[in-house]
Amino acid sequence: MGIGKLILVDLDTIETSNLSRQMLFRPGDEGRPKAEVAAERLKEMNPYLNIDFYFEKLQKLSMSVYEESDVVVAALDNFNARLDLNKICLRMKKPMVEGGTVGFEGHVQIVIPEGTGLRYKNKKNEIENLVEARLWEITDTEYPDYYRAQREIELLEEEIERIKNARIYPIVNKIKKEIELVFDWKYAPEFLDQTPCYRCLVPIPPADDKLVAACTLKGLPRNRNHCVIKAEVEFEKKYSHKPDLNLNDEVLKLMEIAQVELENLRERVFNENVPSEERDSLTKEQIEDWKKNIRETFGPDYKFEEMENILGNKIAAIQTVSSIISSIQSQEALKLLFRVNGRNIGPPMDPPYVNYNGIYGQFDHLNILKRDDCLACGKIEGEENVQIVVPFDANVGYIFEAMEISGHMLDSELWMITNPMTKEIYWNPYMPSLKDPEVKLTSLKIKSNDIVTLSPLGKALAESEIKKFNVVIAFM
Amino acid sequence: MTEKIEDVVKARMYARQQLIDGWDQDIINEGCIIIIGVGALRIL
Repeated sequence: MGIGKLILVDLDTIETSNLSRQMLFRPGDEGRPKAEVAAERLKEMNPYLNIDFYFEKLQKLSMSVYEESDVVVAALDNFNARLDLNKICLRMKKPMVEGGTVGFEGHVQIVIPEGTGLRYKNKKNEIENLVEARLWEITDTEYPDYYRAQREIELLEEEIERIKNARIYPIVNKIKKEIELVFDWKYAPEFLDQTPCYRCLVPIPPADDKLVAACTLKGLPRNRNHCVIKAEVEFEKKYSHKPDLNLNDEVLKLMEIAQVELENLRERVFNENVPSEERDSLTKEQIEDWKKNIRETFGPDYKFEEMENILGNKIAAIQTVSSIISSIQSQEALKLLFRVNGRNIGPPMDPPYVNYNGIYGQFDHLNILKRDDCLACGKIEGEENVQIVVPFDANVGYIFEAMEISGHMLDSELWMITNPMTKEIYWNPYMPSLKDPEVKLTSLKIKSNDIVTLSPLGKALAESEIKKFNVVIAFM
Repeated sequence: MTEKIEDVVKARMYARQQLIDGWDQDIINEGCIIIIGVGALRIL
């Protein structure tokens, strides 16, 4: 990850059994010191890393080595070594991240010694905890009303429990028995043997990236991403091929074109906001303020890495979280592998969806639901939901173009477009009065995120597997 | 009893996981898992 310096300490040598799970070691390394080989491999992965290694006991290591470290990570294999390291960290006032595994279980413990100056706990929560502790200590004579109130609450709670026993639980138990009688044949197949599918969570897939690019090309770039998309097209026109983002000089040429587009965008926005006739009445400082604001709105000049990030539609990613998620995936795959082969080393996770938040170190299991109207696993057949992005001045004909870009080639002579709510017909190839591709969507009062329905007619009705497209239209 | 050198190495490599209750190395050896997409773990 590019940390300035790593210090590796280990007294062990590599054994064959380490090779299946300690990813830095390979066959042939057996017998060599772990610290040395790990340093070698990390250096191969990132030659810029500064790594020291020590093939000796942690207890024998010079205190100056600990002193040099900001954080101590403990990945030990016995209690005594952990206890000794703990002692050293407390003495040296070094935060320690302790970790270990046994079978399928693992733990991580953060140890922050007194005097490190690291603010760890939340002041508000700590005050609440102290208040809670103090409340346990107060006496009846000190706060008699507090005690009276507590007794009243206890009586109310007893009364609630009595009502539940007399009037709620009998009904709950009766319904429970009814469900138990039919559960095996009525509910078990749906509840026990399957989970919601991926499409249940994504009923309307996001619009295809190509649609956004197509919109950008139809109009002038309106943000810094548009400028790069436009630059890619200009590059292709100029050099007769798309830029190869692995070649530095091509990325630089692309960046040059994108920069010109960005400057044109800034200029256009300046001219729109400060018309030439108004400019004479503004001071030099006011004009500079406008330019500064526009610069801040559309961001600074491009950086090299932005080209690939924008064109590749890259999103932020960090290896640590990837490792955690891929590890959970591997774990689930392993359990399922046993299960499909009639063996059991543990059930698949239930609920079947876990969210991990690396910032808070928190795993949340989400109780996801199977959708009856799911287009992949539900009861609805012959429908598809599509989201399209269209330019502000798009016309009815563009809906067919956008559907084609989204991967659904529909013959406009055989499909009808209607409003599912009002039943208004926007396009009917059999009626000349409703067959004008130039009619603007805005003139039909279609707003962003409105839904239109595309239905097949004639030959398409017989041939198309999909009998209804529910199309969400988003203006860009 | 394992005889071939390769089997002995494998037995050593997989020694620890076999201590897990219910583990059956043969199932792993015979199993097939397909991984679609490698590395990126992107959401969109």
